[in-house]
Amino acid sequence: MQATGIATFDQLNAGVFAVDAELRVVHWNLFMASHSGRPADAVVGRPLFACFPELPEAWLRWKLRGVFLLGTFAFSSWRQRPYLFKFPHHRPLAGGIDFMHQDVAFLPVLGESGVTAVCVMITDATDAARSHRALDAAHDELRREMAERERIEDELRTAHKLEAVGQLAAGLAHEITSPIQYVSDSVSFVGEAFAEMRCIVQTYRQALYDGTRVAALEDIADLEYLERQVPQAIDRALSGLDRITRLVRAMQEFGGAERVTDGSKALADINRAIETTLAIARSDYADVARVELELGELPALHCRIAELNQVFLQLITNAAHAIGDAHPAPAKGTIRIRTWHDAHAVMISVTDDGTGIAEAIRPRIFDPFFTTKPAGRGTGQGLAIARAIVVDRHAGALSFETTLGRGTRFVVRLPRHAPDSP
Amino acid sequence: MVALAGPEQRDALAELVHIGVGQAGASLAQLFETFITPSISRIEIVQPHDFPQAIATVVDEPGPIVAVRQAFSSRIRGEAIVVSTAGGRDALADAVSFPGGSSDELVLEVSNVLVGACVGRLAAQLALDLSFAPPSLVGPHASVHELLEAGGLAWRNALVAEVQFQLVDRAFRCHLFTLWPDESIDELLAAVDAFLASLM
Repeated sequence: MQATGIATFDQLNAGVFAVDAELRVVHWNLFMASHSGRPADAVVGRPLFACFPELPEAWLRWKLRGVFLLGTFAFSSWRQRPYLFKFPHHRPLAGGIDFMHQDVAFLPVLGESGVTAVCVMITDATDAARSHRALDAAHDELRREMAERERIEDELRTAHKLEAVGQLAAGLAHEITSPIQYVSDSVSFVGEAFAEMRCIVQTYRQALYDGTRVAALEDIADLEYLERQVPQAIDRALSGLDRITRLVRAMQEFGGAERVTDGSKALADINRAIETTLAIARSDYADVARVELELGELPALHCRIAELNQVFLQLITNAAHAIGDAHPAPAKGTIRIRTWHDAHAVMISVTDDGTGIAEAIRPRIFDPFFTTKPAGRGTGQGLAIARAIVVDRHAGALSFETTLGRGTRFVVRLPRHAPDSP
Repeated sequence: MVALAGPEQRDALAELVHIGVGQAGASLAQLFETFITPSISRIEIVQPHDFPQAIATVVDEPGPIVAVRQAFSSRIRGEAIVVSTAGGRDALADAVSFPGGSSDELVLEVSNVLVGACVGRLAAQLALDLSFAPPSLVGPHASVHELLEAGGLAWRNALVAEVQFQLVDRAFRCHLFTLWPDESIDELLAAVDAFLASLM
């Protein structure tokens, strides 16, 4: 190496040394001397590994051999191998870093006969390493927090689903109680009537046999009354059974789609889904609101219908609560549900004439855990989950407009050709 | 192939890359003292919107992907990316002797040799001097998909060389991509033209 080159190497804030084919040190710059505590005249001309037995000899020999053999650059990064030489880093605030972290480059020195030496350049990477370690630690922490948040959100979603199932079960029990009562009353009446009719029939048989009079018995049994009432009682019982059947079928439709399609999308009838949801949620709104339906003709939509049922249920329940707060019983409000579509999307609006939403809380109604309802009436997850189902799972939009004291209108927009979402 | 590379340029580039790959195979064989068979299954120039499809065969392979990036510069500049699989990396680590180093270091070493030989040889044949930045593993903060997604690529064309290396009875398969910024493509093709002219 020429003298001018050596002077330049000494000015570098990097370690530079060179070894020949026998791995004897042929150059040792000022940086190497000052950081190793070994001046050039104590090192140059001597075998590298004799001077520094602490070096990773097998690995370093392999690297040097590669450069001599191929005549190409080689490298080593602090990320895989923090340091080659155990140099102090002279930083009081090193963030737990023990020795100077080093990036190392191996450069072939070419002569007429090929590679005559390998120049090794060591760059101080301690600051970069410290920053990267801090970044790695922050990244790991962020990942842990995200995983924890996902876990909590999963649990909350499950809790909300269970809560909704509980509410539905209570509502369904309430809805079924009434028809069961009149089915039971009617069947009891028919049973009693049958006993009386049987008695009359036996009396007629006896009269036919021995020729006695039966008119007085017919009067006692009020045969005309039985002939009039029994068919009506049977009709009432059949009507009640029909209502129970429809409720159970609605319940199956409400939750069954998810099982059928295993959560993936399938073609579904949005209008039918709304009618189904109304049927099973009747106990939530029937005491406080009338329902007006304006269901337009809709194309079948590729969607997760069981999840959308959950959205419709949430909007209907919220509307009923808002109306219940605004119209003291026995006054009733109105829930108006409308569906329509254009070339790109299917729209569903749920409008109530309830309390409306105060301006201060409008920006937060889709936030998880946000609720204005008293304890036991909602977890504050309903609209957050509804929004996630519409926006994240169906690439749609859930918006609202509201006037305090006059009511709220929610609009669900579902694209007709949405890409599959997770 | 894009229109900016004519048939003669394309054939010349392919031939030069073949020579570079041969050099890379020879270099690896020397370094690891084992019999190595390099093979080239594809060389082409693709544009950003075709790039995801061009690498689909790589990233669709089962198991995690291992990618190494390495920049090079001089009159032409660009970046080389060597993509292999974690399974291939482990097979490589089993097959060759790399004293005292981790499997990640080994992949970096192999990638460096490949890029140095392929790109370096290509540049040398075109009388272009190159210097290389240190190779680095992609990640853990960026996936290969993020690295290569078309929208984020600030280049017009990529020279894609699909290279396979067979080490004795173990398969280590890797794919070498080189990405060139616009002005380097022009410089590269001008150098190819000069190379072709020198053969006349």
